[in-house]
Amino acid sequence: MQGQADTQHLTAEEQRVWYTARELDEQMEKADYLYESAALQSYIQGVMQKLYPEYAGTLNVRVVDSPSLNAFALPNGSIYINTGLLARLDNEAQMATVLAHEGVHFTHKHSLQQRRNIKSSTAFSTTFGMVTGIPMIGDLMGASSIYGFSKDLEREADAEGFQRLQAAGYDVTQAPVTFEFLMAEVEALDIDEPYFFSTHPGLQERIDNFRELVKQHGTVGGYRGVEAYQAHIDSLRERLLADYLELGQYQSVLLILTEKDAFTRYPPTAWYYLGEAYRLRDEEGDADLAVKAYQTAVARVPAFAPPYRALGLHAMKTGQSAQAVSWFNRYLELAPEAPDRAYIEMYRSQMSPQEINR
Amino acid sequence: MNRLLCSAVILILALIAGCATTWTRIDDANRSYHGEHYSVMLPPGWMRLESSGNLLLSKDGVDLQRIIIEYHPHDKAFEKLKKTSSASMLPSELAELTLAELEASQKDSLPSLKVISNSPVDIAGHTGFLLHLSFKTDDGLRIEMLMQGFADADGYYLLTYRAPTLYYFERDRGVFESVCASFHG
Repeated sequence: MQGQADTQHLTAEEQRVWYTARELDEQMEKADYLYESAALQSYIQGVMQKLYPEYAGTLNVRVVDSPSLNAFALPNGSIYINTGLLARLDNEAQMATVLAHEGVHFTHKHSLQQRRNIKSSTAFSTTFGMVTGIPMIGDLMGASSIYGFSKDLEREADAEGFQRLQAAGYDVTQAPVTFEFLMAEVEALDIDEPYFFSTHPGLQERIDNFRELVKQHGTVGGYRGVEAYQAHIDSLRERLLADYLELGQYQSVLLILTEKDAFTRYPPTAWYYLGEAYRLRDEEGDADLAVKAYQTAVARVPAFAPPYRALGLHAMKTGQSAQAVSWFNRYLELAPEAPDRAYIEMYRSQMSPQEINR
Repeated sequence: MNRLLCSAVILILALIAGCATTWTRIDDANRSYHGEHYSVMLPPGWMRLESSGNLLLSKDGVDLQRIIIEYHPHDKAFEKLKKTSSASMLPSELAELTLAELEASQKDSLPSLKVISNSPVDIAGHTGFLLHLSFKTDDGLRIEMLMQGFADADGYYLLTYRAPTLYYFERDRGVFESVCASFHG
C-alpha cells in the first residue's frame, strides 16, 4: 500500500510523478476547483472504501465543482469526480463503476506505464500531460482518464474495476448503463469535448467491454443504492441545471428534462429551468413552452421566486404591463435580496401607469 | 494557466496578430480616440494596442491591469453561444449572455467565478449593464473584473477591466470608470 507519506520505496521516476500529482492536488484547492460538502465527500469516500478496502487512506476522492461529465485519477491516488457527472448518474452502483475504473488506474500505475509508453514512442505529440501521464491543471477540467489511457490500460481498468464492483456487492448490470447514458448525451449534444484521445470510440469500448463482462461474469441482483444516492445527490441536480443555463448550455437542460420520468429525479423547481432553456433556445413556439413551464413551476412551488421574474419579463416584453408589474412584485416579495433587484425595479418603474391600467 | 487567463491571452494575441501596430504610449496629444464605431478618451500614461477597432489598454502590463474595449456587430455579438444581440434586448438579457459567453469561452466552467454584482448602468446615453466578477487563477491569485456593455442600433459594445484584487484593482478602477464615462457609441 502506498500512503501519502510513504513514498520512500518508490523509484525516483515514481516519486517525481507522485510529487507532481500532489502539486496538482494543492493547485486544485488553491484555485477553488473543489466542491465543498463534508457529507457528500464522506459518502463517496465510503463507496471508494467498499471497493478498495486495502487502500483506505491512499485512494482519496475529491469532488470537482464542474458541470462537465468527467472523472480522472492521479498517480498519487487522488481521484477526482465532477459534480456534473455525479448529478447525471442514477444510483450508487453507477458511481461505483466510475470509481472502480478510476481506482485501477492508480493501483496498476497506469500513469507510469503511459509515461513510459509515450516516452518510447515518437508517434505521439508530447504535451506535458501526455508525457507525465498527469494533466496540467489547465487540462484537468477537460481531461478524463475514463478516456485518457491506451486501449489496453482502459480495458484492464474495465476488467479489474468490474471485479471490484462485484466483490463489493454492487449490481454489475449498472456498469454498462453508466457509459450508455454518457454516450447518449455525447451524441445528442454533438459534444466535441477535449478529452484526451477520443470520446465516441472510447465510450463505445467501455460499453462493449462492460456488456461482455456482464455476459461472462454477471450475477443476478446486487446493490444499486438508488435512495442513498438520491439523498446525497439531489441538491447537485438542481445546481447542474443552473450551471448549464449559466454556461448557455440550454440543450443539456432540454435533454435532461425532456427525458422520460425526468421529473421523478428532478425537483419541481426544475420546471423553471426547463422554461429558461426554451427561452434561451428561442425557436418557434418556444416562448409558449417557456411560459407553460414557468406557470407549472409557480403552481408546483409557489414560494420559488425565479419563475415570477421570468413571467414578469415575458409579460413586459409582450406588452402586458399590469401583469408584468404583478409578477415582478411577487418576485421581489419572495426574493427581496435578489441579485437582479435593481433591474427589476428599473423595469417596473419604466412601465407607465397608463400602460399598467390599460 | 486557467481558462480565463488563456482566453485573455488569445484575445491579446488576436489583437496583436490582427494589426501590425505596436504598443503606443497614450499622451495628451493622442488620448482622444475616434474609431469607426465609437469614440473614447484614453488614460494618459497608459499604453494602447489597437486591432480591428478593438482597444487593449494597460499601464503596467496586461497581467497587472487591462482595459479592453470591444465593438461587435449584432450578428457576431456572442459567437461562442451562437447568439446575436439586438438594440431591443434588455440590459439584464445582455448581461446574462455576456456572462455565458465569457464562461463558454473557457473549455469548462470556472468554479471560482463569482458574480459580485450585476446591475443596470447608464453608459453612452443608453441603459446597459455593469457586471462585477471575481475569480482565482490556478496559483490562487484573486482577480476582479468589471464589464460594462450595451447594445444600440449599430451593434454591441463591451468595456472590460480586470486586475488582481491585491493592490491593482482598486487603484485603477477609477481610470476604467473615467474611460466608460467618456465612451460614446
